[in-house]
Amino acid sequence: MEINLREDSPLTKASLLQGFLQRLARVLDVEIARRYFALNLFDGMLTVLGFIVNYFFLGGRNPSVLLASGLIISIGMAISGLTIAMLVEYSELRKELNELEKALFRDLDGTHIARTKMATALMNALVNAIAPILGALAVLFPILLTSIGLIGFTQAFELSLFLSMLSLFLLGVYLGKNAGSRSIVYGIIMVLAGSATAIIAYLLGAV
Amino acid sequence: MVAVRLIKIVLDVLKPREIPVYHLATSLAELENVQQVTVDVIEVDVKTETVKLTVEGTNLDINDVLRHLEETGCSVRSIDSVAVKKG
Repeated sequence: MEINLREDSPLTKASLLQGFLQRLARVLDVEIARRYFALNLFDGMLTVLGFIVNYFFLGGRNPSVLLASGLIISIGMAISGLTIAMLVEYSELRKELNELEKALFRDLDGTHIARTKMATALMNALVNAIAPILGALAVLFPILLTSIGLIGFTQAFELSLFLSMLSLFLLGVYLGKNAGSRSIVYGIIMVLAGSATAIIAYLLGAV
Repeated sequence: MVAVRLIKIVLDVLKPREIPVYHLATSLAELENVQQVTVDVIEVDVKTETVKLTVEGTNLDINDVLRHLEETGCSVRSIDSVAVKKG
């Protein structure tokens, strides 16, 4: 049916639109962002952990090199994550909207639902980008402490290993709780993955 | 001339399933002069739901209601009933 819209409608009040958008955002696809966050936090931590262990056993003792390289690696992962997630998310969003438009017999451009989907896609892409940096920072934090002279390099290395395993365990526990099953098992699996990475990095550095 | 006020509209609406009925109802209730909103689900499809939307108020502006539905992503298929009051 044809809808005759009045331009001076009080509906243009931003609060009303925002309120609706916020309520809708709570419902839409926070699960995907959560998944991206866990995946990429894990990626960021393991990559930098492997790098730190390998560097240490190759005899490297320069915290600045570790910090700079660790950050560059995580920034690379962030840019890669942002780009691919934007493309994947936008492509999925467009597909979903096209299907919904067919089902509703109307164009959805500019509607709340289209804007909310776009906001969700953007949020997912940002989470995908930020998560590996956070993971890397958790592992790199002790290296930062040694670079400003608060602790020794070996201490920082040990602390870094400890923090990595702790973060991996906590991430596992969180995922386990999320799944409603045994969180300790999830935590142990995460720690085992971290340990495997550290051992391989050690072997590659020691050989 | 005696003023005539629109106090009730019943619409046949096709809405995306992703918009929960209570969100649709509460957002409509935030419109000016709206006092009560009732949403009855008539038919459920894979991606859409057909709902009977009843909006009641003291002096409704039908364009506000239609515009809100348009902006949220709903399709208004027909206006099935209206009630007006004199004075």
